[in-house]
Amino acid sequence: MERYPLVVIGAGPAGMAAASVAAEYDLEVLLLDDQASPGGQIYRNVSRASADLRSEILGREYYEGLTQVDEFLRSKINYSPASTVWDIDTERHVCYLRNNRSYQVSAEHLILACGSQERPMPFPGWDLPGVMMAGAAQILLKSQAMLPASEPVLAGSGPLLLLLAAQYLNAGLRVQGIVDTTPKSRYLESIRYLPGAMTAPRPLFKGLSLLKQIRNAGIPLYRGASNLLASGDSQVRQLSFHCAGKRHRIDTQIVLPHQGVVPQLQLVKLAGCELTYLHRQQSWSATVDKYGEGSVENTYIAGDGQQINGAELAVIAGKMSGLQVLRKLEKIDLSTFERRVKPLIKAKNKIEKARRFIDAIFRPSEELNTPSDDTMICRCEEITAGAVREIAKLGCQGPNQVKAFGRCGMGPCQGRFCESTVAALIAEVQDRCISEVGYYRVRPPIKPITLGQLGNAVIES
Amino acid sequence: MFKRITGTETTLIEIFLNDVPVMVPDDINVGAAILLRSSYCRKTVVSGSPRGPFCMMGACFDCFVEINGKMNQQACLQQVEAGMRIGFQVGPANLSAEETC
Repeated sequence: MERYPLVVIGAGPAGMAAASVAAEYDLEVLLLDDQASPGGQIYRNVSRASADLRSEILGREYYEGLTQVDEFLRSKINYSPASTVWDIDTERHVCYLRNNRSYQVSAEHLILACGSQERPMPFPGWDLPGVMMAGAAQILLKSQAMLPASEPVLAGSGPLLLLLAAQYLNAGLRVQGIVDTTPKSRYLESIRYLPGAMTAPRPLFKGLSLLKQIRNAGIPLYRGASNLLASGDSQVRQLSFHCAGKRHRIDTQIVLPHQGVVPQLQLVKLAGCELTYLHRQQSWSATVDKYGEGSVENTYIAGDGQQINGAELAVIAGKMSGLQVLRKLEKIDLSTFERRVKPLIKAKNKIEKARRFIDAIFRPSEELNTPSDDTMICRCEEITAGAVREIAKLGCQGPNQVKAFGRCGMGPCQGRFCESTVAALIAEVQDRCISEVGYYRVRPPIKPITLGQLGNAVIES
Repeated sequence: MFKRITGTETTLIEIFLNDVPVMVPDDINVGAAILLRSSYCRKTVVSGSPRGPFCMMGACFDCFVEINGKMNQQACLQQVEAGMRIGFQVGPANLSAEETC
């Protein structure tokens, strides 16, 4: 088996930063990423997107990713794109698929920078064709230069909805409306974090300028909306919802829901690392020390794949983990380490403080967290919230037992799109804290692999 | 369901969507190619209801299609290639002889 002093998984802001800093000191780094080009989802396709798309439509924050991608591509890194990791064990053996073959490598140090996925947003009809996560629609814009063929409706909460509506406006496409499910109480709850947000105010000002652009374009904003329902026969035709005391109906063929992002923790779990429940983000996070090292020695978790703090902090976290690896391998001495880490810690604290405001204001609504009984929550096995509540009433202790009783989470997505809802429903029915209810165990392979690919696996170098 | 931004420089290639030849840009993924023509790409194993690409980043597995005879392929993670044959999956996947031997 080929051995590397450092394997990094993920070529988003955190992974690129970790690999680049390690390469600065000539450490041999293997970076595996499942996309065809570096940048992660945030800067997806930035090195290939046309100049018009980058600057006129997607905006400055996206364009800035190009600097980091260019720096990464110039570094001496063994970069392996289109490589899908399907297993990791607690000894840091990494299995991945590339060009229809499976490979296994061994990592002395491992940095997991797997980023985030969109938080599931279950409401009746979210499984209909024509309903697609807003982040997915943004990926289509960034990486495929594609726009909805008719005017979509955006629904949910979080800064991405405003950003996407503005990017569509830049591209000459109006959205029919933004159905904002942020409960009105969140504005009051978040006020006390506002001074903190002002210490790194860029996201706040960005949000306000997006809001202004959307208002000026006359796009309806339905604040405090609830009881969403997407309806249609084989394809969505209408989105209806409650807002300001009445039922609204919008005819549309495209609904783009979103309620923030959560860390992708599959590989973190497989690597044997402990998780901590983060109440303010309503999600699990990877338990790490100051430099991002997890509960398993020499395994690090950096960026939004550890907890959601955004791209700017992901770069800092990636660098810090990379530097810690360099220090442990004695590629840099303690004074160099401290000199380089000190400003990073300072910047990290500032951004973390500012993040509290975003966490508080965009905390998902209770209704979307524990949806109505008729809502399908497991998209793969087509299990409703009602069925999970029934199982929870029987006394099932956590998501794994619910899975065994009702198949919820047993489909190909392995619980990626139902885990948070299942846990929230168990907690609701049994009046327990979600942090005690727990999470799904993950079993390899976490990505589809054929027997043929497994049989032809390259294990010896 | 989706369209290319007007004026995007594109080379077209021919692929087969459910055995019908269609021209698509050569620099997009299979999921995107489907969305240029259709909002759905399969019928579920459990109830037979239609589904389309949903997350576009390999997490949701709702874009499972048959590509060049191999089933359960994530459409959003593969680039189109000239002559590629893409089939919508209706119900459970079959295990092809090639995969079993």
